[in-house]
Amino acid sequence: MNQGLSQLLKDCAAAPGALGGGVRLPDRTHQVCSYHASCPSETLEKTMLHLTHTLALLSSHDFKAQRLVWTFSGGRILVAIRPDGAVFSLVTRNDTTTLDFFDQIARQFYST
Amino acid sequence: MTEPKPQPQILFVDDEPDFLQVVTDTFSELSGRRWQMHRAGSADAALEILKRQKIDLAVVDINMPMLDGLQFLRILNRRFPGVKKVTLTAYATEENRAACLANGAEFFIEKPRTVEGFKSVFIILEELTTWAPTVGFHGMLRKVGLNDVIQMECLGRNSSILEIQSQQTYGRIFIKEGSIVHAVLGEETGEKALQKLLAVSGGEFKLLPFQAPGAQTIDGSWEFLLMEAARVRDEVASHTPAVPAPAAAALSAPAPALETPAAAAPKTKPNVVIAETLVCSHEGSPIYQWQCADVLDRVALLQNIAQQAALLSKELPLGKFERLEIRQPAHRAVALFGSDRLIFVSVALQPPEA
Repeated sequence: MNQGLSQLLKDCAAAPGALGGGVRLPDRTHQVCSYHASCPSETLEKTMLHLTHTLALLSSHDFKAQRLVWTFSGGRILVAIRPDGAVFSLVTRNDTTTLDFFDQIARQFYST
Repeated sequence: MTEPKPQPQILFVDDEPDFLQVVTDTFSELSGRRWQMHRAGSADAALEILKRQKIDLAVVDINMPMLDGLQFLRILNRRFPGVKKVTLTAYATEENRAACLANGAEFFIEKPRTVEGFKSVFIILEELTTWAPTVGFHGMLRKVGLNDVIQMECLGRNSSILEIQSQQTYGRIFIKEGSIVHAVLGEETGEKALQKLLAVSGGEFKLLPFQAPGAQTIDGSWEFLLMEAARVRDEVASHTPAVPAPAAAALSAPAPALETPAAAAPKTKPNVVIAETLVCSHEGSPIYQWQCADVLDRVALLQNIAQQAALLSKELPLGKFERLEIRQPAHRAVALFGSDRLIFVSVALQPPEA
């Protein structure tokens, strides 16, 4: 995994309400990082898989998503997709400042 | 002179490359190189093939990591209804079998592991490729008006019951030997019920075998009845303000949530134009749609998103799923999951006017 991406994942620990994050590359290699005990690595691995399924589903319906925001009653999953198919995701509790933080992270992800 | 046997186009979908190789090599040989075979390692690769190539039969592994075989069958049913489907699995259970057959698979077959097994499966698939209706046609019509269906039934002097379901509307039109004899919509019967049913703008219908209604409430020629219904419909439309835009605008209320402060940084905001709206029940019955090019396709998408969201909800401590926002370069879409209905709104972002 690219050092820049690993660093980006570590940086996300500082995001308000962050529970965990993950990166999946087009060659199917992936890395996850847990920031909170309620969201262990195994859970994040499964989350990455479901997100990948959803992107394949959207693609089959002609949606070429750049970003996804899954909103739940108690938090969000923020997803950025690079044109090469790489996926970056962040699982967070509800916090109004998380979106701003993720915008900065996504910009770095697109340029990594 | 005998005509050469047709060359069926067969698509194999399986995430095991070795199995794909073996199955296509073996069946190619067994068919005397007659079968034209296409291989896909995933559901999305299979969809790409289906978009560019007419396929007669899709043989699908149900245990695939991305979209699984069952979800793929559902997409096939919606988008490629003419394709025959067979599912293969290494783990045959009664539950899987029932689910596959319920989702339109013609056969549910255990993956062959021996030469004899491959031969047996080949015989089944070969038989399936030759199945064709001997009388009438099999196909799918999109955006058929009820008038068209009634005309076909009346011109053919058929007897049938046309069952119509849309929004909260449910009604029946009885056709006996090419004449409309009865219509019922809730408490209403007769011509009024017929006119209201023919004014329904979208929904689903079924043609059922004819059974005599309790009473004959309509007589007169079907041509006159259809023309009268059209006249009433036009008259009502000319006195009714256009509904779609305000309704769609109301439904687009969540759209601002798509913009984060940072994303909204440009000084001139783009014009947001509602492109599409769909409201349906959790069971998939459309309740309201506006400019939705393919209602069934969108319903399938919403149901599949709901399925993925349920899996995410199960894994993560985030509570109940509420909505998914999808951002594309020039479009935004939001899928809202309420307690009693699913709502999909798509907007196009156009450059601001100078």
